Amino acid sequence: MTLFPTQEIGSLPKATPDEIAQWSGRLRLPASTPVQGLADSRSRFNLAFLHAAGLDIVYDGEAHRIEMAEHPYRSIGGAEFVGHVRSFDNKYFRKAAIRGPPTLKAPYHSDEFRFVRSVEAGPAEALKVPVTGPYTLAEWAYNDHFLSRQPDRYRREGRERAQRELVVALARNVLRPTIADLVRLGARQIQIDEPALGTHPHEVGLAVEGFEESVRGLDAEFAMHLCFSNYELLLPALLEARSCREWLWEFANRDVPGHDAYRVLGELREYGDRRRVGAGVLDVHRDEVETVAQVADRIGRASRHLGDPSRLRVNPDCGLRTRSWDVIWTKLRNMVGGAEQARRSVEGT
Amino acid sequence: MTGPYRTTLTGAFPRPEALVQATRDLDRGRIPLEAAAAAFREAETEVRRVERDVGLDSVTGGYLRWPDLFRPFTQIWSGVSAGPLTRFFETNTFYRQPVLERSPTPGKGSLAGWLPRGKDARAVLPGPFTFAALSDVRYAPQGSASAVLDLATALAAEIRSLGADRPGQLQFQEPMLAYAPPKGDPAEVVEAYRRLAEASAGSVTSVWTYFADAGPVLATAALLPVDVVGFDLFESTLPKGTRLGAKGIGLGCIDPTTTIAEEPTAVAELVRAAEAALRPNVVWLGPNPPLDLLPFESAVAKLQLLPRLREALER
Repeated sequence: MTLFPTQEIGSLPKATPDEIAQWSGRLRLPASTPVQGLADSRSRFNLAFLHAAGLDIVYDGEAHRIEMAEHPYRSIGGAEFVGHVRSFDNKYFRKAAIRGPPTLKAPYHSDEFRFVRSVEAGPAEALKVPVTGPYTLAEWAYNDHFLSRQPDRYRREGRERAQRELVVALARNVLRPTIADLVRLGARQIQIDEPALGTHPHEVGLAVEGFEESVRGLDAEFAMHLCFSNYELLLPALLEARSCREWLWEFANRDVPGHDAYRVLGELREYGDRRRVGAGVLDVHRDEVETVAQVADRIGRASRHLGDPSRLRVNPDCGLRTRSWDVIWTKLRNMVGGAEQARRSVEGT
Repeated sequence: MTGPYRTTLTGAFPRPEALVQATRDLDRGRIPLEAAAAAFREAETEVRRVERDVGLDSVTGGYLRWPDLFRPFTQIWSGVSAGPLTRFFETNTFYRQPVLERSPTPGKGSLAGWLPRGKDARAVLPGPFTFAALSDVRYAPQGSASAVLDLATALAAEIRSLGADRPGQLQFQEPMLAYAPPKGDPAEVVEAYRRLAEASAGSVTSVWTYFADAGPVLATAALLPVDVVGFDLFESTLPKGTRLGAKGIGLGCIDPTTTIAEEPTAVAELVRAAEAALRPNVVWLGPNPPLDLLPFESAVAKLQLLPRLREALER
């Protein structure tokens, strides 16, 4: 694969039929046979949109999913939705309470992956399937079932014991069979999303345990995506996730004048960690579009701190679903342009 | 029985589902600003009704308009702007990190519109120590005393500007006090609170810390010129012999990380133990902030603990 391959990392907005038609015309996306539902139509559009932007590794912007926790919890027995919780500003997620032992009703990404494979002609290695990790699923639900079984539920020890029981149960009973089915269907690259990992840095060992338990015995290339975390607090314990082949971290959100957010990659080098890194170069929470030069500069710094350009991939910080299609398009085009510029810079030296 | 016991909200309340929908619709351009404003007014009325029905000794309106604990100040002060989206302690909620380019100066807008008013009203404000610690301070070394003192001065000016309509209760959120206590001599924190106390004369003042064991920091809290020191009842271990002086305590006794209702008898035992250890002159009972980690209906249900707990304690 080329130096600094570009990749998507998460969800895209849910395009309306008008938006799909408008953008398909604007980008002259190839016409194809009609599909059944709007989710399929969005999925196919997202793939074409990402290819048109020039990305090397894609998925379908999670077009079939409501939200990264709600979608899995719809297929998890023992879970019950109790209402919306604000994440920030006017952004919310629908939160579930675990009221019984978590069980898998049916693998919840298999139909989606079958569809993506049916419209995507490229190699399986150019598709990266995002899957919400067990630690994040646990952290983003109310752990009522396991907590109610603790004799010391009003103390930290009881709460932490309940948390571990939930993470392990989700990993074994929900994540592993879901991922196993994806692998059976031909998925080769699977990105385990653990945005909640930074919530309780002292629980990084538990998150690693959940990651390993989720992928144990499965044959694919696994990556871990983190965002809005203080990575320094997670190292070196995070590196115990031996089955992980790539770290995908958010940086651009915090890369401001006077603060080089990519500096932490130097710690991976110091710890002797030789795994790939997918570095976030686009802030997904602001409309200001990064310039090509800004992206190239970020890639250059990330590459220098990592000490090996060949192990660096380039992506947005996280999913771009909260931005407009215009902003997404320009950001992604500049990301691809920035990667080209950084490539020329490295290859020219 | 000791006590006396008072009950209150201690921070932002979850937005009712109708307001969740209205704000989503606003962001997506489906409703005009006026419709969203009406939804906010209705939601605040609903929260005030909940506060009244539960029999709380304060009115907050739920702080539903506050995007985060600091955002009003990035809008009404010069020298401060809203920076990157940043995780709020060990929660899955985020705030825009305040960026302090220089010493903050009030005057761009008024705090009054962000607060409830009147004798029974409870203003919940960021404490200067936490404010400074969670900000990107660019005009002074991070963690230096000057930012804490400058923020206290600016907060004090805002409190003075509220005039006669000032809320009867002023609560300063200081989660950082327990989470990462001041290193060494806490003189600057004490001085910061002296400035706030001067501006707050006539109101009941409290410092509320949470997200960590408050036991190790109670000796520092005792030095602060406030009427009440609040902390997380479930997280905290109370060292024997700790004295707060002539102060009340606030006890966070609703856990916002589970929808399971707390059991009044079990919590009453913990409250009595805290009273025995600290011998306060008043006990304020409330949720552990931020209660908006729960959905609205779950928060309302769990809030029912407070009258039952008070009843159990007064029995």
